[in-house]
Amino acid sequence: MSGFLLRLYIAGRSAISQRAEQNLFQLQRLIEPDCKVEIIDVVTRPELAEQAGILATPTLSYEHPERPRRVIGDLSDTKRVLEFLGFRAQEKDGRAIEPKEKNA
Amino acid sequence: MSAQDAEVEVPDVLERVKTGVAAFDELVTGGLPRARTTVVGGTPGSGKTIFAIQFLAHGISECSENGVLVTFEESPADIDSNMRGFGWDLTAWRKAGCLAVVDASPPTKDELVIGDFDLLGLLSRIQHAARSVNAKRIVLDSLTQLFDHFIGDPKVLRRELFRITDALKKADLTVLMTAERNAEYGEITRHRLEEFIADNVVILRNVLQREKRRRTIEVLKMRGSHHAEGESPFTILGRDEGPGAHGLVAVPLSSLRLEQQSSTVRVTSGNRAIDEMCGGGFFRDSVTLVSGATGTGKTLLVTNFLAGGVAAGERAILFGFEESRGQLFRNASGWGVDFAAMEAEGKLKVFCLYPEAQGLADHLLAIQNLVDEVQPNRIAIDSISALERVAPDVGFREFLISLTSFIKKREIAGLYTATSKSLIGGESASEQHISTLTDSIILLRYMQEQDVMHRGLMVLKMRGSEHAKEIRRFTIDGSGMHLGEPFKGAPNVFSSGEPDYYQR
Repeated sequence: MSGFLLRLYIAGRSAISQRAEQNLFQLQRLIEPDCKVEIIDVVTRPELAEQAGILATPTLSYEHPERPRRVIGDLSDTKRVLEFLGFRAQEKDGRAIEPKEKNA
Repeated sequence: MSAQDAEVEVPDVLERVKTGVAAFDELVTGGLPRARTTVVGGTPGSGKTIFAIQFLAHGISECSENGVLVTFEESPADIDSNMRGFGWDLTAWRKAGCLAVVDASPPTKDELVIGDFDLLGLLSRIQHAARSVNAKRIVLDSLTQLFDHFIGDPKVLRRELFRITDALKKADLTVLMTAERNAEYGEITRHRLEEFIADNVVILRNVLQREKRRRTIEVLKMRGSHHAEGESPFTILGRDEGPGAHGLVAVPLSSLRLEQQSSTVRVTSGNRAIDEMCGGGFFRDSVTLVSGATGTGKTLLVTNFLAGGVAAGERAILFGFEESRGQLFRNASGWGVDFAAMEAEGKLKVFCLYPEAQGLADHLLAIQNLVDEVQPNRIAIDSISALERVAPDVGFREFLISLTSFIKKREIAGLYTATSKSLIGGESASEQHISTLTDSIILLRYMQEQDVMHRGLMVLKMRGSEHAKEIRRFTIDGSGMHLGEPFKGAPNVFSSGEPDYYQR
């Protein structure tokens, strides 16, 4: 199976939005099989945020038919995000995924 | 003018937004300040959501101000059906474009918070909803639920809530937020929300006091404006519970100013001899208390008072809390007064209620609604002390103050009766409460003289007028009350037990 969808809801071009976007693209490279990514800015498309019932931004929504899941936050902890969404990570470019160091 | 000269235009008077709870608006000199935030705190079941929806309802139906409801707790469908009992149709308002609802109730999806976030998603939705209906009023119900949703990040929540309320205020929106309290007295709200986002704080209470629920509303803080202090009673009325207002109905306490004018016009007490003792009758806008032990003739005085008014072409209303209509009508005819004929002519209305049937706040509202409907010139309440059973202490005192100031404002002549507990002399607690509030006091007492028991009447107090100081004997027969000679060497009417003179 392929072509499942990850939707990222962000609010404008804030630092936190950009961080989440970058982290998402990094995730996308690691996820096997390929997934589609859609980015929605709630400031310009509030009606989509309303439809999806978004409170917090950034929110990553995994539109799974049986078990939809959401991750709130800037997605900086790649390993936990992958675990929660239930993806196997692939070492596409030869690098292993290392969990980011936790900030004190 | 001077306001235009100033660099930054600051309105010197805050514009007010009426909440639809009339007596509450009075407490805060006209309503909630526009473009400010108000936190309404209360324990579960204290009426927060009702107050919040009423604020929206009043805006939509009375002020052509549309609204946005943001619900964090109940689903919009639940709120809609819960509010139908108050005559508020959220669905109809949504269809008419007067109301937008943002459903922020907890999601059913799995959710995990990893890393930093903001609540701009929520803010954009609220702003979008506000734009879509051109809203002036916003309700967030309840913030505590939002806090509990993101329980791990209280700091982020504080920052983000501040950001949201700030943005809404800048858009000239008046914001009402509800928040849970754990206890009726103590910490203002859970998570101490009021400290960082509230310009104004209002507390709703629902206190159990001697087996009776007492609902009160208190304005705790109102930035930059005057407000009445302390708790004011309120009640919650459904649409079907009588005419008048529904929803959360606050009971106006002593108004901020004693503004009622004093009339010098005299009206008859219904008994010429008592009129003479009072220096020409009662004042038109005064309240008189008739106090006496059981059987001394209080209800007779009430009957005379009503009949005297009707004979002078006035309209009268009687609230009976001790006897049934049948008993009151029979008593009256025993003294030569035909209540039934007076009612048939539309000159008199008699309402009898069991004191325990409802709380004092509801009694007060019922009386006010009926008085507004009947528009009487005089009102009698027989007896006011029976109502003390319903809520002793503070509640009763508040009730008395409210009722008395209501009667005076309407320029109605009022007569209360109070039953003293002991047969000879003595004061009851209710007398102490009532006596300072009423303008005039008439005492009816059993008086022992040698081996005979007489009845005596005296005018104890008559505000703004001379009055007779003697204690007059009186008798009661088939044509009513007859005053006789004053007592000579009378016993002390205030002490109970052995009269002083007896021991001399």
